[in-house]
Amino acid sequence: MKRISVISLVLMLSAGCGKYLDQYPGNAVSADRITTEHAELMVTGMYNIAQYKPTFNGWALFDLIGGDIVRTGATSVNTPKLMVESAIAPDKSLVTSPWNGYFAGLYQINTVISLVEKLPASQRKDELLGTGCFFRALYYYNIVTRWRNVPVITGEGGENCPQQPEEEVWKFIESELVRAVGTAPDFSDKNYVSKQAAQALLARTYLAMGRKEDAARLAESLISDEAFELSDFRSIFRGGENKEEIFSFANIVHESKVNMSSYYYTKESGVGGAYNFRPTAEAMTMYSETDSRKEISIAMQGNNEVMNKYCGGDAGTDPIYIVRLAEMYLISAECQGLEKGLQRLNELRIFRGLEPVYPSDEEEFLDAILHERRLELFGEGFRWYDLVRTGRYEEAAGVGKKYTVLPVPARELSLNGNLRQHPLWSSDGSI
Amino acid sequence: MDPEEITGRAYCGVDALLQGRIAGVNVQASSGSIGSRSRVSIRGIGSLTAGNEPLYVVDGIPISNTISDAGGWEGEQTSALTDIHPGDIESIQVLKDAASAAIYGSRATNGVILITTKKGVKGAPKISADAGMSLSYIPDLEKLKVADADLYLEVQNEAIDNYNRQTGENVSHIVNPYPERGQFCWADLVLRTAISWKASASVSGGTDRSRYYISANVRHNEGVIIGNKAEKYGVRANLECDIKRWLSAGINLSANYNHTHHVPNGNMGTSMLTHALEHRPWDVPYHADGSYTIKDKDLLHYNLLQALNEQNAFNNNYRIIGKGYIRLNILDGLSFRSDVGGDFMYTEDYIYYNSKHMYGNSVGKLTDARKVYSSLVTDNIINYSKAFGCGLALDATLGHTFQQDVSSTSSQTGQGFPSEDFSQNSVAAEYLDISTGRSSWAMQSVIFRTTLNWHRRYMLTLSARTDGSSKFAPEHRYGFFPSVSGGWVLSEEPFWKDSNTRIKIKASCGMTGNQGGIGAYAFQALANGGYNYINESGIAMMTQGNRDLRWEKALQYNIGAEMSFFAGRMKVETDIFRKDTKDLLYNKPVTATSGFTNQLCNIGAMRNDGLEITLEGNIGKGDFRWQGGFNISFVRNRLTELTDDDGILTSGSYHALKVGEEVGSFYMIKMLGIYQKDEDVPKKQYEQGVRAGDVMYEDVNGDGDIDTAGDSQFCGSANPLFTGGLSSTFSWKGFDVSLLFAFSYGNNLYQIWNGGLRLGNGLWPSQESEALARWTGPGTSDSVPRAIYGMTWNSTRFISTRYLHDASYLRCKSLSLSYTLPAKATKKVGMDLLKIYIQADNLFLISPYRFIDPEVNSSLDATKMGLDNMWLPQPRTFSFGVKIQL
Repeated sequence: MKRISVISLVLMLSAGCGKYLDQYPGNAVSADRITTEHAELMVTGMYNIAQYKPTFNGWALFDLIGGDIVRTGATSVNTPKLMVESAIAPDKSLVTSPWNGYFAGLYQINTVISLVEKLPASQRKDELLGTGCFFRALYYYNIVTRWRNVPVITGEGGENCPQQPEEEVWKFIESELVRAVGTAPDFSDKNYVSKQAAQALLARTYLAMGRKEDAARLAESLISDEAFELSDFRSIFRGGENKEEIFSFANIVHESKVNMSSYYYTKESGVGGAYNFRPTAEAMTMYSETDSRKEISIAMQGNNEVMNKYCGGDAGTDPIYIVRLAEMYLISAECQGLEKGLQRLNELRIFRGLEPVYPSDEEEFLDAILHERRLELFGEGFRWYDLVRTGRYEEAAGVGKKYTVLPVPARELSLNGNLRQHPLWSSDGSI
Repeated sequence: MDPEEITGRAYCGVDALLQGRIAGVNVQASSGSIGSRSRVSIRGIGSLTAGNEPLYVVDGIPISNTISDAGGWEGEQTSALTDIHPGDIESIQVLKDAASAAIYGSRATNGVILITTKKGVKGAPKISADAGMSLSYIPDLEKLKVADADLYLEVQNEAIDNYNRQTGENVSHIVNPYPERGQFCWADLVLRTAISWKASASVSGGTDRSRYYISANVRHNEGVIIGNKAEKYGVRANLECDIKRWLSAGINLSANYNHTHHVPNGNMGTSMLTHALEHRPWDVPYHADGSYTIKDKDLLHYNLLQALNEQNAFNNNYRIIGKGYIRLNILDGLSFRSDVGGDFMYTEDYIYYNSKHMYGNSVGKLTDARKVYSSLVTDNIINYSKAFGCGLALDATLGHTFQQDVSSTSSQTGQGFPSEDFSQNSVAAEYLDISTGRSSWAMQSVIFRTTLNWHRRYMLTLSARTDGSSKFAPEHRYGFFPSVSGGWVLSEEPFWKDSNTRIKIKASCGMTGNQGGIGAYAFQALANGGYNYINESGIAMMTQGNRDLRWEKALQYNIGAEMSFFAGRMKVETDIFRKDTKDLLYNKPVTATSGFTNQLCNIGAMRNDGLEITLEGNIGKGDFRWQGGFNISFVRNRLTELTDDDGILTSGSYHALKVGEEVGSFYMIKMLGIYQKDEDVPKKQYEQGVRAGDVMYEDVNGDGDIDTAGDSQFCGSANPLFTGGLSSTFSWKGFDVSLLFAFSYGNNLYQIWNGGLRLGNGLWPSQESEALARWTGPGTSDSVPRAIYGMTWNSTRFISTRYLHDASYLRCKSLSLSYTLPAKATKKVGMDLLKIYIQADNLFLISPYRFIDPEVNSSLDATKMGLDNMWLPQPRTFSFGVKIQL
């Protein structure tokens, strides 16, 4: 009897094990438990995702291949040409990691937008939708400028989607931004999406689309907006109070791994840095002594030249600057042309401690604008596309025409039969 | 396998002991660092994404064979298999085919390594003790010789001249800034001859009603890099007691404490050997004033001495593996046993970079990570065993097992310490990262097995088990795994006359399952927390999940024969097998436009066909005895089905999967040779700057240009065609000489580390051999290109076969000489046994591979094997020791 009871006790204990086969993580919940109640949480999550998914390679790409930055260390090259030719190819990480990052972020943005759309009508719903549309437009601006003909994905089913012609993508960005301008909340905090941020991005979009009047109009409306005014670089790039930033990701160290300055700073900075990239000799000499931007934009650490806009080092992160007022001055100037626009250009120059310029014709004026954009926006992800959209990249960098667009990653082409390589990169040589 | 043979190698893990010993068991080391992991594959590749490692079972308890790190250390992971002290091992048994492994079903698809520890037997206490010491160093360092300053400058400036000539640019020459300095050898600075020692003692015995085996061991193991060491302490108690005539109980328990001092290794930015080869000839570690030279300012790479001296990085690991059990004899032949046991680990990673360390951010940085791991197992088994008068014997087992694994981690990284004397995160000025994690999975199984044996002539075993795993959705949770095996002992037949020859023929067929290696919550689509913005909580849909996931299943057939001739003096064992694995669990790559880059799915199938042969012989005359063993195994793997049967799925940058090809095949651009004349260069390549002296790649799609997507092809694999071992022991009176060789043929290895092979692409110092072999004019080389500044075509532009090499080898794993004193002499000093030995491990190597160690491989993943990133080679070790028994 004793033997039997021992066995039955053990068997009873083991029979109860089945329920232990339901195991759950404590840091996540089942996706089907997400309802509209979680909309605000998902929107906060969208900010987090949107800032880190493109990675450093994504946010910094236009500087890395823009001709003012080269690689350092054992793999160093002295000329941007060599760096561009080695780093831009269908299987290189400078191409693949931004592609993967932007589309991964886009998935989250689309998920959030479709969840928010299920909310009952309210002002808050509109604001959240405006925020979502802003992010979707921001992502597509980054995607279309890099790859041109790309799939436009607004919901499920991104696996085997075909590409849209570039014009269609720009139209989509425009419509998203128009929606965001209409519904996003008014500006209150530079780290959150606002109607003004949407206007600014729309101005940038119109500039790229060649709709100069619309671009100038929007840029002007922001210049005249009392919420903003030009501010000193020290207050913008060293975490001070300023009225210049229209939208920047906060990019706090424990929330995001995008660590710009780790790539630009050296160990001698005192805060660490891997020093993967440095400004070219030309970039180091492009600022005049009176330029108030100089010491924040470039510096020497020991005997090494560094990009100085981001100062967090290995351990700290810096904000990711998406749009600020100085760009609006430059858009307005560029789009209004020499006669009407020169004033805006010189206002900015004088504010930064430079003499005004007086170009003699439109071409000289455009030279002056691009030069000013180069000085003002160095390290903020503009240079490559500025040169590309004005048809100057091949000459400036000394590289072939195909480098005016990024190739679609080889991996995507092999997995998605509906995608076509950009003609400049297709191996049949048809250009 | 007899553990006596391995006394001299008590420093390594159980996995490393198996190499070359058993047909079909292939062991690949990841490096020569202390406690480094290795890849053990039994009968070839078992899976793609799911686990590929065999199940390790110690006295009936499945143990964790993965890692004993808490996740704080970024270098090489530490194997969790070194905690089992080889001296405590009674036997190691390897179960390879499905039928014998069936009892371990769901985790046995990659084979089972059964480790049985020693037990006491009735009798007076027996005391056994041994102690030993060893010296280790890295052999063949001349294979890594770095070009001296003159040669380095010759190559770099030739590269610049070549570039200037063809582009018309004017890049200036590099000059030696310190011509007065000689060539500095960084490898000499960080490598050493390591001294290790070990000691262990055990006592065993028993009375009428109880038996015991208790032991203790200590192992102090130095690595060949200065500062690398592991201190291990372990105790074991195996106790058994007969409480009643029908009831017995026992415990098997081992407790271990390991303290491992890390040095930068693996893929770390400060990894020692790698970076010792990447300093320019004139780079030195100190300035004249004694301060460190630093990267970018003075050096090309990190200062190795700064990395070594200014860090304090260690791992403490506390582990208990044990079980308690009771056995009941209910009726004659009917018994019941119940085991409760587990594997419990507490691990602490401590990585402190002080303010002078390059990773210390000038203020000091500390990562303190902890992990608690527990794996709890219960087994309840009823067994009926009876021999019937007619010559039939029956053995039937019915059981239930349950296992739950829980792993819980926490980690903080703080920075800003008042001085180097402060080394706790509580005083850190700020915290960079604070995180916790928890994961758990569980499995329960019902097992049935019955064995019928008639006159020891015919045997039949039927088994079946059902496993349920929490990793799968409830509707796919359970898998059913049956097996059948039969044996015919020909030599037991009445017609068999030759009593000196024994022959057994066996065949089996069985199914095993696999759910290892995949995430604990693999099927669940999840909304994850922690996606916060400016300290507000946020959530995001980060995990797609896949409710359709189900067990990966392998159906394995085995036919074999065991033969013994000349009254056992010669034995031959041979097996052929086929293993068809279907519903392969694989992280399938998906287009990034879907929001994800891969998804875990059951896709495809693969087949392993194999042949194993083992020969053993022993002869003896008088005092002389020879024992020899030879084993060889051939495994051929083919992917037989994939979602898209024609497509090629790249897995990482170096490999791809395709139906009909071997899993783990390299997929890259093929180097054909060197262009000897400019006129040979196709136009499209010429336009990119390719000239005579540059690498000629195969243009597979014939478009005149080379690109990864259009011109990659399958180029062999990291899987050997055959592997095996050869052992031989000569005994004469008290002397024994043992030799063990291991070999592997047909496996390729890709040099990921190619810093020394770039010849002007970047400032990398050159390997002397490469610099001397470079192309300098028509006919000078057809394998090493010219030096060319800045251009990546020859080196980093493509993953190409320029860096893919044959890594076949024959290695003398060990040679040992031991002497056992005559019993008469030892009895006089009151001992039963006194034995002294000397041994050499890794004595020599024959291989076409150009770097030191063709075995070292930085990837343990089956689909991405065969990558040499210049991890530390395996050292050569000389040891001696003494063993006594009282």
